[in-house]
Amino acid sequence: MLKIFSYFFLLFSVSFFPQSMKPVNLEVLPLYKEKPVTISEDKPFVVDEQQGLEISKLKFYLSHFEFYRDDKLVFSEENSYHLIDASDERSMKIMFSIPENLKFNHIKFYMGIDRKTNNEGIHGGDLDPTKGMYWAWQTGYINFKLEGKSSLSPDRNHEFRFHLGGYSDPFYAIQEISLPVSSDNILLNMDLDQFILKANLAERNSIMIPGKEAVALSGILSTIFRTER
Amino acid sequence: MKKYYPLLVLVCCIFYGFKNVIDPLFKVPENWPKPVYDFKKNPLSAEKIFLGRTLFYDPVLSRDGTISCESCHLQYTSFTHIDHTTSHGIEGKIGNRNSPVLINLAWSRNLMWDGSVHHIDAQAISPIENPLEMDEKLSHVVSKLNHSQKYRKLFYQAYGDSTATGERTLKSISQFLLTLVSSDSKYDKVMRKEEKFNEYEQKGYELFKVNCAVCHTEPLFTNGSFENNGLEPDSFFKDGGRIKITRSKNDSLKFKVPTLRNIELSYPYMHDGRFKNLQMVLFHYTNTIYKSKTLSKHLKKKIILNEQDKNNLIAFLKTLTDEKFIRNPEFSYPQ
Repeated sequence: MLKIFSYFFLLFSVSFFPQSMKPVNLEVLPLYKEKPVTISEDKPFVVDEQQGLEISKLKFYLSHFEFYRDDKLVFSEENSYHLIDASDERSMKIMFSIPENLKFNHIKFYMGIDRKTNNEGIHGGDLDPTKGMYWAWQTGYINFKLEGKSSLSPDRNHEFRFHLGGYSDPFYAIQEISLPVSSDNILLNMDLDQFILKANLAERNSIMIPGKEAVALSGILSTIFRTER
Repeated sequence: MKKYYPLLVLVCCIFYGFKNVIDPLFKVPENWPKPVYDFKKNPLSAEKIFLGRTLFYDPVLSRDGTISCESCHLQYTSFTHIDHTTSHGIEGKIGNRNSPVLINLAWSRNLMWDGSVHHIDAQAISPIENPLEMDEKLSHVVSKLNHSQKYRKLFYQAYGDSTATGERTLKSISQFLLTLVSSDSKYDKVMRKEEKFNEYEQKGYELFKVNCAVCHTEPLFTNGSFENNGLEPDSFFKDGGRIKITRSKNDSLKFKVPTLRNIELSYPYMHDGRFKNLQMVLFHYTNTIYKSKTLSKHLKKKIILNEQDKNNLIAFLKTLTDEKFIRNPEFSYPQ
């Protein structure tokens, strides 16, 4: 209820008092043991030559960004869907335009695409199905893709690939993430080494359908994001 | 205040007049339920429908330019592919399901035999990217469209911008599919009291209401649910149906209840096209129900029909044929 009131308050204040806006920048930084992961379109990122670990694709959705001061919602981005692609540097930086006098100390967002948006069918922009983040054998957005090679994977050519998603119960894979922030330039770190370690590539190396495994792996993903204070 | 009453009445009348208008270009047949498609999110326009229709008939959607939607969905057989148990796609590859008719899709909540597609706007992705059907990538289709003078013009006419996107391509195809409404069969005319069933059709209709209508519910002739209708599992396809999507054992061997509209034209029958004609279908329901855990509760009690009953039932089913639909020039190859 409080949330609804806050929305109305926001709407009211925005429509009656034209405000000057300020940019808030958020940069996503995927890391492997503190080393930034950058992927060029035709060249995989070699994480560790000795372990034979390569990452060739990292793409995921971050959506529904909200800014809070303590427990109070102060700003929520409209039409908030961002496709993050580690091979496209521009996609790693998000700029929000928020009223200048707003103060916030934590942010909330989703990793993935919510059920309502999925139920509405297909959308444009970052959600256009040509972006490679929509399933073809069934329908629905893919929340997260990670592909590469590892000597640990017993699969063909030691490949591993995770396409995580699913919006129907009991396999709803979306993850809510809430993190403290202290400035208008937010660095969102992502410890991929933690995910790869916990995913256990020797056992799990190819999950491409919604289900129990996809939900479990998505749960691990929700723990690898951190902001630097 | 009183002087405003006539105005108020007028406004009420106007609102009442519009209450059944879902979209100015979409007419809901009398006494039909409200469509499930949200037309407000994709309002129909003549230009978008035409673009979708052009795409529907264009093999540009396939990898090698040989397969269009129409390859498996031909208008004169009510937008399905007859004479093939399961359809064939690119390079003659055989698919694993019988292509369904495309009728009254504005009322369909789930599409495909297993409901793998939950929204018509996303439907075309599936055959485009299926390696046995069109074996193409949607992103590459969009790139081909953006390199085509003809399509740049059609997109401009439809969207006021010549750029093709995945969203525009898919939603235009939806627009055309949504217009494929069949509501002018003899059955419909009888319901509208414009014609009368003959004696056999009338008896068949009574039998239909008792034995079939619980799943093949009027006026759409499907209730949109998934059921196990007692087909013995095919050892070649090993197709579990709905379970692939929900991963629930309760959905094993369940398939979408198909509409019976234009059933006379859309042989063979069932998800794997195993029955060549309606006699075989009725023989299945009376004699060869395969019992398994998920068998539809409506089929647990044996259906008993004598030969005359079956002939009457088939006579009724043939009243669902809509000649106007299969000859409607607005649905045919765009000239």
